[in-house]
Amino acid sequence: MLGITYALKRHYSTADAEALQWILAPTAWLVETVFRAPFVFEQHVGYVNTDLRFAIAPSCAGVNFMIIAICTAALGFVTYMPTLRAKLTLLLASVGLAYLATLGVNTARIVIALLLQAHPMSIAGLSSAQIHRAEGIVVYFTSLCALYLLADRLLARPRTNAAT
Amino acid sequence: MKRLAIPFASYLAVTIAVPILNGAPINAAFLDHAALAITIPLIVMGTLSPLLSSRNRKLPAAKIAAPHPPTRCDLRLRTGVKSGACLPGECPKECYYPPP
Repeated sequence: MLGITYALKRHYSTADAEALQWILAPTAWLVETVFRAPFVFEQHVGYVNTDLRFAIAPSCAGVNFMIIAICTAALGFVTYMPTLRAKLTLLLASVGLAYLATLGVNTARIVIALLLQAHPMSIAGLSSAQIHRAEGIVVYFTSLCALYLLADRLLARPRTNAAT
Repeated sequence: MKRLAIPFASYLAVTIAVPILNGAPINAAFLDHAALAITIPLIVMGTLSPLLSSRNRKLPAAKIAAPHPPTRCDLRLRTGVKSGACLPGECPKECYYPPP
């Protein structure tokens, strides 16, 4: 788990928009589909919509969320897995599911950010950049908790049934 | 709160601890980010916590205990019937047991 997350973090810290196509491209496609606004790829920047003045840049890729989701799944549910094979399955499944969850959650975050940009508001004296950051933290952390509790419920149920 | 400790710890580790260990400059922007990254998850957890605890709150033991036929002794104590089981209508609902 540490090896995967370290490699992912290292890749993310040095990667540009081209290297992050594996996550930026599907995210941009999902945002286009949901928000019905075209995003065009620009080298070294990411996916840009000039009309909306919004860029899905490498910093918006959500790789940190994916790393957090992998760590949470692996650390939170490893005790549910009795064998080494089950533990490895959990690790691989958590990587795949974390990727899918990142696409969904990041799309939701970007769509909310676009809506907030279209309808600017003032919250507790925060600047627009702080509101954007706070919105990201709220969406990411709430989604992380929801996914964790859902997975906990799904994994705990067969265990409880087996015990009774 | 306790149930969300692992997501919270993972979140703080990746967003705050790892950048510090990687030598990120601890300037005003980073402190601003750290303040939000600590405060907002605590607010989210505080909001979710009552919801989780109310869902997990156990029913009183009397209600979740498996029903078992009361013994004759129980019935005599509760209903005052000297012998035999309680008769229909004499017993409180919770200790009603059809007579043998």
